[in-house]
Amino acid sequence: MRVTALLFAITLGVSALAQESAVPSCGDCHDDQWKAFATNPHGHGVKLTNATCEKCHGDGKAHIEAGGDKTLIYKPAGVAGADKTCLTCHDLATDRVTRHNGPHSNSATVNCLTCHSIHSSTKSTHLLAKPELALCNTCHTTQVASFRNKPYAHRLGTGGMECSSCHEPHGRAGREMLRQTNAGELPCAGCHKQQRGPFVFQHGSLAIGDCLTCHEPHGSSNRNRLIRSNIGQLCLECHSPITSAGSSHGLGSQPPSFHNLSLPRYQNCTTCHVAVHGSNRDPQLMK
Amino acid sequence: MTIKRLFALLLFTTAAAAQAQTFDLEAGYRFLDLKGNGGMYRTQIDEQEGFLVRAFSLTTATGPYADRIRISASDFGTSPAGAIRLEADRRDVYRFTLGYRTADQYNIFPSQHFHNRTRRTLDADLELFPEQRIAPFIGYSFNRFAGPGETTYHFGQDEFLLQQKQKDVEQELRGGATFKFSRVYGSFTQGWRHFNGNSDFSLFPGAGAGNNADPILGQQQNATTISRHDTTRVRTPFTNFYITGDVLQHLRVIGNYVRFSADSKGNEDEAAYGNFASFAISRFFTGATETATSNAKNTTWRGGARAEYAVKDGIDLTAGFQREHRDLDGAALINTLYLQSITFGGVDQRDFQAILNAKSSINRDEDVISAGVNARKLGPFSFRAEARQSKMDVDVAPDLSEIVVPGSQSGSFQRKVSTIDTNASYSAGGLLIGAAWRSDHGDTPIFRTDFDDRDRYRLRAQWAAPKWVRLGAVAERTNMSNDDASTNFHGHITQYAGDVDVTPLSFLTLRASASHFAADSTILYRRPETFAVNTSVHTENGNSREGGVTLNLKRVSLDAAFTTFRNSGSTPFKINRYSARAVVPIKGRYGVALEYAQDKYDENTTFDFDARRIGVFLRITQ
Repeated sequence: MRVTALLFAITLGVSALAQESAVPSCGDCHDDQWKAFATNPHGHGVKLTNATCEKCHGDGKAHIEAGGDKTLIYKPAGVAGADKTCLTCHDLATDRVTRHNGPHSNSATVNCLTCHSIHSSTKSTHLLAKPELALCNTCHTTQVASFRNKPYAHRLGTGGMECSSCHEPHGRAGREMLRQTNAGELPCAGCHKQQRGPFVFQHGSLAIGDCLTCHEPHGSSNRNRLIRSNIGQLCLECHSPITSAGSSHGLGSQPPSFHNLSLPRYQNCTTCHVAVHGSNRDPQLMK
Repeated sequence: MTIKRLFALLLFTTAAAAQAQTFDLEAGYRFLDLKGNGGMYRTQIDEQEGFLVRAFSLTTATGPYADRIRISASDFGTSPAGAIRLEADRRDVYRFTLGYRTADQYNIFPSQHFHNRTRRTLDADLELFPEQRIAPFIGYSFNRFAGPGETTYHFGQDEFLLQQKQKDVEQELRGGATFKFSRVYGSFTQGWRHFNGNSDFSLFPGAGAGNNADPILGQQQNATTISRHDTTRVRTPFTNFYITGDVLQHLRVIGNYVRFSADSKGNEDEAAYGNFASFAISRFFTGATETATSNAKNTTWRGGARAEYAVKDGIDLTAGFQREHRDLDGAALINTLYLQSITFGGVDQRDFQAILNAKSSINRDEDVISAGVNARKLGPFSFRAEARQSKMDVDVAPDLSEIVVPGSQSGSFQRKVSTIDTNASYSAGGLLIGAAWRSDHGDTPIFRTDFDDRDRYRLRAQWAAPKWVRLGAVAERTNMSNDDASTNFHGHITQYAGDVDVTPLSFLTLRASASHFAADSTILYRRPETFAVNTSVHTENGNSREGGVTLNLKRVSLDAAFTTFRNSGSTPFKINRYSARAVVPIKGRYGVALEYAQDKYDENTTFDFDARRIGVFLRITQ
């Protein structure tokens, strides 16, 4: 009896194994994607089975049985594919990030699958379809051209600095598309800590405005990446308290008359006012 | 990075490659042929001659402690910026990232100012039990910015060249947790930042005569010694929190709060000896010692709430409110002792002490309300519109010191800016057309350059119907103005860009692009020396052309490009850039990459340069 039962169990087991091995694996045909999925963020740490693929591609039984008929397998594409597939897990919404309401939210024009390629090379971070600069250049051609053409710009593509170092591609419109430090400051403060202050003698433009009041981070003709070619020009545009009837000149005092603009040294204010972001030692920002 | 470290990295990675799932290394030597101004070359490009790890990546799968470990590095060695990143994780147990970046900052300014500094940053983050209901995390960041420089110091009616050593170090420790319970999720972070800044200044050898060769009231100015030591310590605790709740089937509510409180303490010791004059105290003097202690505090918080209502699939309504408060207070006690002073009339007054006890404060409140609609699935069309209004209240206390002289630097200011931000797009059959318009209207300016009206327009078109060609075009225009008679500010920025990619053969891609950038702004300003009101005019008028070819043959790949940019604006210059890169396999997983790059900068001054680089790199891939 025991021998019979053992033989029966063995027969069942062999039969089951035979049946299991009879079900083709997705990797039998899609060898490259199958192998690459081991290092894919979606695939590492899980035992790769057909069910793994079916999480995004739906039931593959008919596709397999038809010998790989492409019409019988779901391939996520376009806004519908991105919504149905990607947002099932990645529908994150914070005060700054959104998948539904930002300029890059899923639409026919731009969606998850425009920028991310799920089966692309594992060498790419965040499964980007292309290197980041080339990817952003597809739509934001003028901004990328500015980095390339202007002599003074952040070095994108080297040292880990990319567009997304400062921009949040999943952000909401306006300033929310800029990344923040953990303390909620503009991304500039993430690297340029020494300009952050606080200072006793604070330059008003930094305290009431922000870095972009004076600087152009996308490339500039000025060595300090200012929004004007000449420093003196930038400073005097605020530091000229001219008033007319009914108007307020706002913040910005008048330099005294020994600042003779016909002399080159007075055209470059930061020759003397070196601590232009703010100082704890000198009210005139000269050290 | 030293050569030893570079080789250590290479050895480690070569050994590790044996177990790697994927492995790539490209390392070699770059030659530099530089003609012209080396300082300007370093300011703009700064790629030096020497050993270089151009690229490296290693990925392992399924190890004893991690499901995956990935190490990647780029541009380490003689590049101005490099990065290494390590990622490791075990599903549902932990996720760890470690990033190290280095960036050289070399800058020659006109006159006697320059700096040659390096920023090194390290970021480490560990998240436990990711994707679980509560996932605690901890992180650490280190940022060091240090190096020599030269600056000038206006002192005693002369200007002296100083050499400077600067070392700023900031460390940040943070911890918190993300949480996810059914329909509610969010994140809480508590962190502490600690900044230490140190600067040492001393008179540049041989610079004691100062930049001013003329005597002041018959007395020649000179310095025998100038030394200064500054320290700044800033402690900044911060809190960051958001919570999102899907409270109803179609309604999502998000709340957020972030706060930091930066407390800065500064000390300065300065000593200067020589012969000086001061119009501020109307005396000659033979030296001065100064000590300064300061304390400044910045407390900033921002909080808000937002609701998102899905009217139907693909159509969302949003509304939000944010309030931000910023409070800056500062106090400084500056004690200056002028040594052996005599009046300009020749009366001996011996030592003279001046004490400045200054206080400053700025309070700034800003409220932003917004409402919008996003219809993103109207067949091939999508549409988004948002209206925002920000209202800012600023109080600046009289002691705020800004550039040059008191006046026009205090008071209460209010400014309201109303914004309409829209975009629409159409995408079907390989054709994409997008348009965006943003209009801002502001009332009373706080700064003279604040606009009354600003409009931004953007048009984009792309066509890629047959897969072998892609045409793209972008046009952008920004107009801003402040018509107040005392300001008369008008600014315009225009940008056009067009590009085309053609792939006539599967292994050949040709590309070309052209862009135009023009900016002009005019605003009234007052000349300090005459009090005359003039117009400040800034213009830029740049055109670029670019062409390139990519060839991917079975064994050899080649990529070559040429770019030229001419700017005929306020600062005319011309830049020509050439680059080529070929990858040739040698045997098995070994290959060679050859690079050529040339950058020619021409502003028709002594700052022009022509830099050619040739790189030879060994490639190992697996």
